[in-house]
Amino acid sequence: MENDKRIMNRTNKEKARGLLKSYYGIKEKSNVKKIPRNPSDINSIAFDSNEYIKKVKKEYNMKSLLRENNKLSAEMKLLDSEMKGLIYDNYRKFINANDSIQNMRKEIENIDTEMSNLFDKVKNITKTSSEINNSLETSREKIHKLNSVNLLLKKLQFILELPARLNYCLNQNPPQYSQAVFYYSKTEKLLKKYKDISGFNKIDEECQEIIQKISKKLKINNTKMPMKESSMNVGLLIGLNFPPTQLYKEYSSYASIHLKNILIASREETSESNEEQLQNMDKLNDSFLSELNLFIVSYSNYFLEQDKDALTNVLYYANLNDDERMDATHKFKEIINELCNDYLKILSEELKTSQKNNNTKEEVYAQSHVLIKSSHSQINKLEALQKLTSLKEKVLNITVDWIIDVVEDLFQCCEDKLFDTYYKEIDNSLTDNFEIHINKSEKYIINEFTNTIIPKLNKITKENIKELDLLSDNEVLIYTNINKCLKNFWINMFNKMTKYSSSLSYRTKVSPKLLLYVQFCDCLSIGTIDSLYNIYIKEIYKMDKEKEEEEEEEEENKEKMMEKESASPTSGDIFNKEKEALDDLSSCISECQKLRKTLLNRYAQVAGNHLIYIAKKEFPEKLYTENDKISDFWIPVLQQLEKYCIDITKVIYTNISKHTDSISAESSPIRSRLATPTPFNNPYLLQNSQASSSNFSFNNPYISNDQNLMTNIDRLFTERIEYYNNVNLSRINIKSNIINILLKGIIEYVRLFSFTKEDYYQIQLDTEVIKALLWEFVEDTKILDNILEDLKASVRVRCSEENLMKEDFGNKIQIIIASLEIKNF
Amino acid sequence: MEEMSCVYGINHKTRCMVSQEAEQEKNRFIIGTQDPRNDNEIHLLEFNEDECDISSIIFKHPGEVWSITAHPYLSDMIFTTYKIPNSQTMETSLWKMNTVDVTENTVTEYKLDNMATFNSNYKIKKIICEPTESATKLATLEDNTISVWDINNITNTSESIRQYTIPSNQYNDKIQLTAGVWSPHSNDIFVTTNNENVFTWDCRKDGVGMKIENAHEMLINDIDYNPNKPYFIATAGNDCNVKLWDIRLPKEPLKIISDHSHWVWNVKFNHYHDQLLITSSSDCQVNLQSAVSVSSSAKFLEEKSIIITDEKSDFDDKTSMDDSITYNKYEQELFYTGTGSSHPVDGIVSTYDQHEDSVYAITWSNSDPWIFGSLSYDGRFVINIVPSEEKYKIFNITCS
Repeated sequence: MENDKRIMNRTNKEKARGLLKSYYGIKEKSNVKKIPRNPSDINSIAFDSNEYIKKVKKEYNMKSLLRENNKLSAEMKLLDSEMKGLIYDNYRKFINANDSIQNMRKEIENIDTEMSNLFDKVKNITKTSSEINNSLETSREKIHKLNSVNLLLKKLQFILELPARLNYCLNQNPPQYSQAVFYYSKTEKLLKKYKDISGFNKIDEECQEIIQKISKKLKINNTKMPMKESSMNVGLLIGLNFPPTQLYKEYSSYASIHLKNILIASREETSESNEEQLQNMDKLNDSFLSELNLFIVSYSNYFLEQDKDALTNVLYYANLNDDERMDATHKFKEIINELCNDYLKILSEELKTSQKNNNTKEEVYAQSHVLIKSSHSQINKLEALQKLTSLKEKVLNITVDWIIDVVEDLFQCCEDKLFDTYYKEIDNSLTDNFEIHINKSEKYIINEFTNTIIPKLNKITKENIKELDLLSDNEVLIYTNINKCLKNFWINMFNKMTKYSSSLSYRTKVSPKLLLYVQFCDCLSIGTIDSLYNIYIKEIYKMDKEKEEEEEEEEENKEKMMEKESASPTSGDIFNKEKEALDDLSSCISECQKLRKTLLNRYAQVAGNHLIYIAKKEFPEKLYTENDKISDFWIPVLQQLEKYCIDITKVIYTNISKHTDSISAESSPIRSRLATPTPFNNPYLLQNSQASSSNFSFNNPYISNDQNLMTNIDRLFTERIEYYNNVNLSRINIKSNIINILLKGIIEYVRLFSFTKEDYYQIQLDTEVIKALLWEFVEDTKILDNILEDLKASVRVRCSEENLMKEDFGNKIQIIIASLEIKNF
Repeated sequence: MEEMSCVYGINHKTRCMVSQEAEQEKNRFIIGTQDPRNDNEIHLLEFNEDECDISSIIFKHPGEVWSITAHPYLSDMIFTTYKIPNSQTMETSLWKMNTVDVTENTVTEYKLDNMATFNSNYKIKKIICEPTESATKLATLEDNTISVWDINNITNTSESIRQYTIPSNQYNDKIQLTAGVWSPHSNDIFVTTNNENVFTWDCRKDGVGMKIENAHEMLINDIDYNPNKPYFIATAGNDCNVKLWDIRLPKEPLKIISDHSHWVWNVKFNHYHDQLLITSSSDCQVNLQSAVSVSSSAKFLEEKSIIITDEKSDFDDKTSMDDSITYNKYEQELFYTGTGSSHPVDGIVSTYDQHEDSVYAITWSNSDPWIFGSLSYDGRFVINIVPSEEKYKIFNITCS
């Protein structure tokens, strides 16, 4: 341990010593030590000549010794000469140095004297400057004091003069309140501060008095005062530190009353002529809207603006806290809303009165347009109004509503006229050609569209809307609404027809009007809707496009990029509207086709049910008539059926030729089977005897008593009949459907009764007559056969007697038919 | 795919059929024949589901049967309205279907015992009974009069407790009561149809209760009361439509079903799952309809659809409002009209065209909720079973 310490001490000491040595530039011993001692190395410090000689003597031979000797001596000579050179050099430098040191010493002596001179002079300067300073000190203080006194005196002067000034301002004509308030607001704080000083107090009192006077005069509740003055007064009152909460309340109530008065005043002026009305409206727009705008500007500047830096041109503003500002904003909005609504009310009332005052729709339109234009242009001028209220939007809404009204009215007129002239109730005497009639009505709509509606729409969209300075969004809105109106035009028309059809009852005869509607729908769906939409799109949208393209071209010439970007969305939106219209077109056509089908089905259903209703009403206890004639209840039914068939033949003109062809083709095999055509050319009249006899032979062997089975088997091979909702637009199909519905209804009805043998005889006779009467007027005689067969079977199973006979009527049928005089099915 | 159906033929014209009301265990149906010549019969049919066959017991019945009503709690009793042969008079009687074992020949003899015949002053066309086991009342429908009777005291001389007369209508049509049904929710309320109108009656009060005027455009043939939802009724009419009503809202029907192409003669709610309706028509078809949207299951479906749309909206929170609205619409369409959903939807479930004549009677089995029978005029009686697919769908909403 101790050893260690000692070693530590020693190394520390050595280190310290080493550091000291190095500081003083003494070479360290250690360096010497480190060099390996080699006494034989001639360049080493440890070189020992004796040792070296010994060594050399030992190791070298003579020759090499000699050589060594020579080498050493040569080296010694070289070193010697080098040393001499160095010494010379060194000496020369020393001499030079000595010279220059001497020179320097000489010069320094001179500087010394100069320096001492300078020092003396500086001393003098400081002395004089302090002297001056001392001498000036007192007066400078005086000047300072005097200066501040001067300022104070000026202020004092101002204050002392203030009452006079204020009075002066007051006495000016007109009184310059704002100047006065400006003075006062500058001095107010001072006066308040030095209230305790008697003079000031007096002045303050005087000023207060004057200000009181002023503030009394600065009325803001005088509702007759114009807005500008009141607004200024409010600003001044704010400057006079009136409580701002009270101020905004007073101000807003003033504004509300003042502006309302303007509105009321405008209402009082009744305007008879259009010019007067327009003048009034212009006046109202001018006075009310600009006053309102002024109110909005000053109110929001005084009370609502939070960013005080933004108020560059406002001298006074109220410092409201957040809650108060909220309240103020609330109050403001309330009043503005109320006023706007009142204004809008007046505007719409004016529009109404313009309707009253003018006789023709053209005049009404022009007048309304002028009125709306007037308020639009006024509003567009007033920036704050647009920024802070929704008045512009609301007026726009009124405008859009008005345009929609106008457009709807156009369509409505067209529709009303159409239905009045072409689709009134058809009385029986009417023997028009309905195809021509419907074509006329079609032409009427197209004419109405091309000559009245489209030009008008064009006028609205191309001229009038443009004049109103609407944004492109709003233009699109108007296009949307016009599209909607057109669609509604169709939908209304469809609804009208649907409503008519659903109002029909089976208790009375169905008017052929329904058929006329069917034909009209057919006509619409085939071409009219399509061509009308074509006209509509072409006129309304294509022209617009051209214009836009032109505009775009012009714009491109000027500023290519910017303008194009802003223009393209508009045309895109309107293009969308065009697409929308195309969608409407297809949906309208499909609606129309659907409607046609429903109306047609409805016709067959109601007509069939009406016939059933008649049959039920006339249905007798006993069918049998004793004489060979058709059962009584058939007569009114057939008469009515005839009427229906006449209606159908008269009104329905679509698909006539096609179906008569198919019928004749169908019946031709039967006809060809007949060798000699009868005067009626009716297979059933002849067939009757044959068919019934063949039936007999077929029935006789086993199933003589169950003809029911035969009908059942027959039924298996015939398709089920769809009684309702299966009607096509062709005379024969409608008739067949009505007949089917009628007969099926009678079948269901007879099943509720009991019959006798005579009744069965009668129904056989009846069915044969019906068959002979109607076969020509149904689409498929097989179906008629089946239904009549069913009818017979239904009566048969309701007979209480057995052994019913199948009758053969021979010529009776022909005679009955001849006597009936109902043939025009 | 074709579900099992079972046919039974009767060699008479038939118009009326009911299920045996008091029988809860077996699928039993009672049919009355209508033949103006022959002796008429009452067929008591039993359908065995496992064997899929129909066994029958035939009773002789005097006169053609125009209407049958099963006794609400005595399984062997029926009321029939019939026309006495060779006369125009109608009578209504209470019968007991007796099975007497004749020991000697080990042949069972079947006989109808006349328990009582209503006073013939009443021109009864149809009888409706309170549908509960503790029933006390029945009502008889005449042309324009409804009489209420004590069901436990029907004798040859008993008189009605109360009578209602239908007011005449604006067209001066002949008043013609066509159908009626007792409310399953109240002992005192029943609904009748005449001409185009529906009237409700309360046995405790005089006069018409609620009414639906001009419910159908033409004659109403049948009416049924929703077993699970008070005030909900279904009507069938000659205008080919079946309409579902909330009787408190008489202006507009809740739903119109027009899948038939001729007069609809019957409409019947399933006794358990009121979204299932069977309808029969003189277009020879029987339709099984689902009207979930206006049934008592609608609320289950709505809950579900709400849950599903909620889940969906969680996913698509960021999509625009329009999208979600259209989605909801789509979802609802899926529920009520769409295909491929595992939930029942509105619309026709299946159409049965085994009949070749007008189907005048149709009824659900009283014991099995999925079995129904239909009867056409030509005497063909067909048993059909609700397709299992539809059953699963129904279980899907109520059970999960």
